[in-house]
Amino acid sequence: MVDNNNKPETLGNQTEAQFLDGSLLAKMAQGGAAQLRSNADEVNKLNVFPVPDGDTGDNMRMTIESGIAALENTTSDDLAEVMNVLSHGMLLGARGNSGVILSQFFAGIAKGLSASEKADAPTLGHALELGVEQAYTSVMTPTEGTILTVAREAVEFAVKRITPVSTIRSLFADLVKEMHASLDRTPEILAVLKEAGVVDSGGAGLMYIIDGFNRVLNGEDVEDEAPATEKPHTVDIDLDAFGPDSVMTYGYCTELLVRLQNSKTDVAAFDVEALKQFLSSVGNSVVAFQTGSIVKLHVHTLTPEQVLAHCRTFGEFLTVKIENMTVQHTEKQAAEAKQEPEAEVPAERKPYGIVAVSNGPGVDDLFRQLGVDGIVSGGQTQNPSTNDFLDAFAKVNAEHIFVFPNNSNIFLAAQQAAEIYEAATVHVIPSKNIGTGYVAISSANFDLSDPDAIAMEMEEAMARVTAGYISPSIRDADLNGIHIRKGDTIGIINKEIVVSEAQRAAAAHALASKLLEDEEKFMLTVFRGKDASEAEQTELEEYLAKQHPDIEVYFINGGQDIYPFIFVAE
Amino acid sequence: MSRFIICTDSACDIKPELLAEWGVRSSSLTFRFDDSEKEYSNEDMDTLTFYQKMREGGVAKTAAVNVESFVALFEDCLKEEADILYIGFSSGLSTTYNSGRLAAEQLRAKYPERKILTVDTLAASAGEGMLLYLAVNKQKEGATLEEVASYIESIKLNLAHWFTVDDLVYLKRGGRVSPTAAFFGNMLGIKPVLHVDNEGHLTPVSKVRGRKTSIRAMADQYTATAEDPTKGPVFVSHGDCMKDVEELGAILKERHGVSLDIIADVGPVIGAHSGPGTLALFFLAKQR
Repeated sequence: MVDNNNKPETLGNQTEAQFLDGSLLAKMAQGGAAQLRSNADEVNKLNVFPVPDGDTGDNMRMTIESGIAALENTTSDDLAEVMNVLSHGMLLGARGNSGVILSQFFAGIAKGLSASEKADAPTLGHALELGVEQAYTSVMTPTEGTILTVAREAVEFAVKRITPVSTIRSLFADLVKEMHASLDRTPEILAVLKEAGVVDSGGAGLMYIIDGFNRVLNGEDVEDEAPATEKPHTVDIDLDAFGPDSVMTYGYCTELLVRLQNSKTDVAAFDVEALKQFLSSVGNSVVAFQTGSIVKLHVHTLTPEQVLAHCRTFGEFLTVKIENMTVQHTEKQAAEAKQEPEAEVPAERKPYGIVAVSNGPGVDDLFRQLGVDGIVSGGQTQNPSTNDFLDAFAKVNAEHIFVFPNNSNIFLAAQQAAEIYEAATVHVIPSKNIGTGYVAISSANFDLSDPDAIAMEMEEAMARVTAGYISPSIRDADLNGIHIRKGDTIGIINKEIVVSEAQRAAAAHALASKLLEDEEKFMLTVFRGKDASEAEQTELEEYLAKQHPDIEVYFINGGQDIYPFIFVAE
Repeated sequence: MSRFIICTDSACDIKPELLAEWGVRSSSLTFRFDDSEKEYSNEDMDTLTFYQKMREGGVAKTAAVNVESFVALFEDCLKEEADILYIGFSSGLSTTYNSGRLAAEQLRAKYPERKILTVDTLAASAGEGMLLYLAVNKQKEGATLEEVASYIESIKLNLAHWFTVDDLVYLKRGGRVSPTAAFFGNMLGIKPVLHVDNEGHLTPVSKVRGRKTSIRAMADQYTATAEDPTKGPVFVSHGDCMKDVEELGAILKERHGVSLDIIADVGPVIGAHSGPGTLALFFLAKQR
């Protein structure tokens, strides 16, 4: 929420906005988040398929909010420092592919500003170009007509128009103008958008954020219609969770802001990597970075006193936060802990561990039976953040961790976490849904000594299967030559709508038969979602037994959201 | 040279009529369902009835052949002035072989002029049956007791068993599979491929997705390890899954031109542990 009372004064000397500094950036980021919050629902609805699983708006909102939450401890006016803290917070809180790309865009900008106490238009323009570059490299195969294009075209346009008299304001005005135009062009570039009659959702989210930045810059009041209900760093504390006889097993979540001291160390030559190594030796979930003479660190450790003592050898504390992780539970974490009583870190280090994203109690159970060590809850409408993955990794004591995002929109967050995490080598297996993830995990051969060979086997197993699912349609549409009415059940195979039926059973039949058209297929695994009844399962079983008597059929009571049935044919 | 009789036990899954044709005598392991005290041997209940009861949730327990039964079986032979070659069920899976060995020891004292040799096949079901078949053939060729015994000893670790089960729950319940197999869980659609190792234990080798894949994996083992894949004998045994036997037979026929020489039922005393839907393939391999 932008503070109306002191905004005019603060911005008074910025009317010309020749320079962007740290405190202005912090306010602009608030405005960007607020503007996106007000429009998140609209962004969510920009879904190619008319299924109720769009969450790009929420993902991007939570990503930038995580950056803003990280700024809470920063009062600095130093642009480099504020940008660095903001982008680190966003990296850790990134959710969904658009959220990850957004966080990488900001990380690139932060790199470009790393030596800038404040920035003029050319300096910021150059940093924006680095942001675009980094956003593009964060995805393996960049797709045009997406958030990437909107960012790139707007930055190219705005940078080209920079003249000696350009201001930060004129730069942002150009950015916003071109983002609107670029966003409107996305359906011309990406056929699926045109067919669905929408613009790109990630591009729209970025446009709202930058629009919010611009509004603050212009002294506008950014309406925050739907204030954040979720603050990633706020926790409810249940003091009773740790009693006189409790055993300390989870350790302390320790977050320190340290000011490096010239009297104790060579500030310019401070080695943050050595600090990370030390932190890894006394704990896990290590994050540490340096901005100027400030070092921010985060570690989960059983011995915070060691961390404190170590840090005082080179600096003094600006802030100290040490929380007992047994009592540090948000409601969600409490619910998860209930499901997962054996969540403490195993003492013995294994060669291999598995972390999988799951959705639904039945799928959770299935994955645990298959030997999955860590479950990250999340699914179609609730994409986990990079940080959620880091927490799950920290609870698995293994040399190599295989992580299954089980959703193409969660892949990048998993990958980002894999890159940040240091206590194990993390291999991201690009499973697109719980069905293919299940196939991969159950095909895993952990007797192999080469983790790359294990990963390859699992990827080959996934390549052999075809997955499909049915979902209710939330609007009328004409896609792939199929007329869809709101309320129909549609069936999707490989990102293509192949069937739309008024009755759910008919859609399930048609989709299953479509999957089994391939004569090589001999087996069908069906995950029943929480919205499908047992009677519907029985009906489907009977249909399959009659129509496809030679197919081995296995039903799993998955309990997943959104999709009444997920099918895997192999 | 005196006559010798080959003896075995009912774990070999060779029908009594065929054993009689081969001149082989057998002693029976027994089983009962845990809701009754009534003891059966394989001949007392046809396999279809048995597997139906298992599918309905019946839990069958088995008992090894005891020393006394072997003493009775062997003594009949000895009284006919015949020597004995006992070819028995894997000591890695049952105490049956040890009972036979102890019975032999006892009777050697009582009948010092007779020869009694025993071979622990470290094999089961029609794998034990195939060693029996090979022994009978050697006997028919005129080999002596010692020659047949050392022949079986020399080839028993070439007798490969490859099998799959529909559900590992039965093997686990009977403690007949190593604990590492718990790794496989009891997962829908995931099928283990197992073999019998050189100690005569059941060992899971791999897990595959789907029954068809498990059948193909067994055929692949045949292709990769058979001493001469174009030449039999090839035995299979099954727990009421004839369609799968046909499928496996068709693959082997197509690949190597071989036919299944014996298609045996997995009888109740083995089936109590492996369950309905067990499919097993036996052949002579470069190694187990």
